[in-house]
Amino acid sequence: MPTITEHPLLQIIIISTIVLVTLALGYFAVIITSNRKIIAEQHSKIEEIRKSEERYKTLFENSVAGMMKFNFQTWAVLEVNQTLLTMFNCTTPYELQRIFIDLHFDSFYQISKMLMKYGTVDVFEIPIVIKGESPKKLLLSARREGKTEIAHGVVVQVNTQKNE
Amino acid sequence: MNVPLIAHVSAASHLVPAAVGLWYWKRLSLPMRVLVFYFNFTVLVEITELILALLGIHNIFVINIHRIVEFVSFMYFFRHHVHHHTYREAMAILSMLYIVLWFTEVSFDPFPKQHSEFINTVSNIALLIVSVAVSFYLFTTSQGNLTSQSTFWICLGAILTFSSTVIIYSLGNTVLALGIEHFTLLWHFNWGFSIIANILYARSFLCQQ
Repeated sequence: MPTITEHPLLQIIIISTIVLVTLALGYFAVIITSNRKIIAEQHSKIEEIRKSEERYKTLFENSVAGMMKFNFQTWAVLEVNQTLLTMFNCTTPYELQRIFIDLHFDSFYQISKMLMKYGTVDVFEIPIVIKGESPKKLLLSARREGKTEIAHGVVVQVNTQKNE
Repeated sequence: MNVPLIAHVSAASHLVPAAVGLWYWKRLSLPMRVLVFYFNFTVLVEITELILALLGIHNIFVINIHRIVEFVSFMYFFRHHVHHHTYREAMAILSMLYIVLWFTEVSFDPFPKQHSEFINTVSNIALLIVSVAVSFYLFTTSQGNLTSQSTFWICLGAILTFSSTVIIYSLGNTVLALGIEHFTLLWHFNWGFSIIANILYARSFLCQQ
């Protein structure tokens, strides 16, 4: 059996083959490493979003102000916290939606218009009268979600009796 | 001539992707099935080469047929895993050009007594370039882990095979003129890397994507 040192052509072929294979494997090593790095970054971003969502959920559920996510065109309530439900003396988002639709059409029309035009509503005063209860005055601040018909709102109740 | 042990192992290793491919046949996509066909064809070619060699008949024409089947199968597979218009067009043109060149070369001498360096080199270079391009395309477009995709393993196997043999193939006849021992010495590269590549090809059939 001959050895590789026997002929220069063999040496050239073997060395260039080794170089080529090393380059090919190096290329794949770079691809795999970069892919793993990208995946790790994606995982870290997902984890960050999850934590942020958890923080928002905690804030939403434990807030002393009423909070809700709603469609400002149809006034369908998509998400609502317990504080806001208690404020209106109801138990489900649907009940709250019915109250919104039944009461003060003018105010809601103005809110929809402002959200559509400016994307935000700051401290909008809504007087509300619910049967069997004393009149209430609510302050609503809301922000439109991108270009959608969805908005996130914060509602606080103002004691009207003191003023009167 | 004494055939080295690695040559036997290499020949036997062709059975691995062929068998694994047949095992998972039902859940494989059409391009993967084309590759299974190619791996089984390779096993048949290995057996035919052995029989012809034992009978003292030149078996280069079988290698030439294997070469065109290999080229078309890999190109078909790669083309189906790339959705970019330019890549696909380039692969189609490259395939057509190679088929024309292959037929031209083979029609002059259907039963050659020497390796066709031209056919082998062009095929190896083309498949090497396409494998690199497809793996790069896969890397830039894939959202998940690359190692969970069959195309990745096929590309890795193909790059390893074609990069390790391209120079040896292109100077095959020159080395053969120095003596069969010299050629056998160099051919160890082909045997060694084809064993690894066959394991990588078999690994690709285990992927769900």
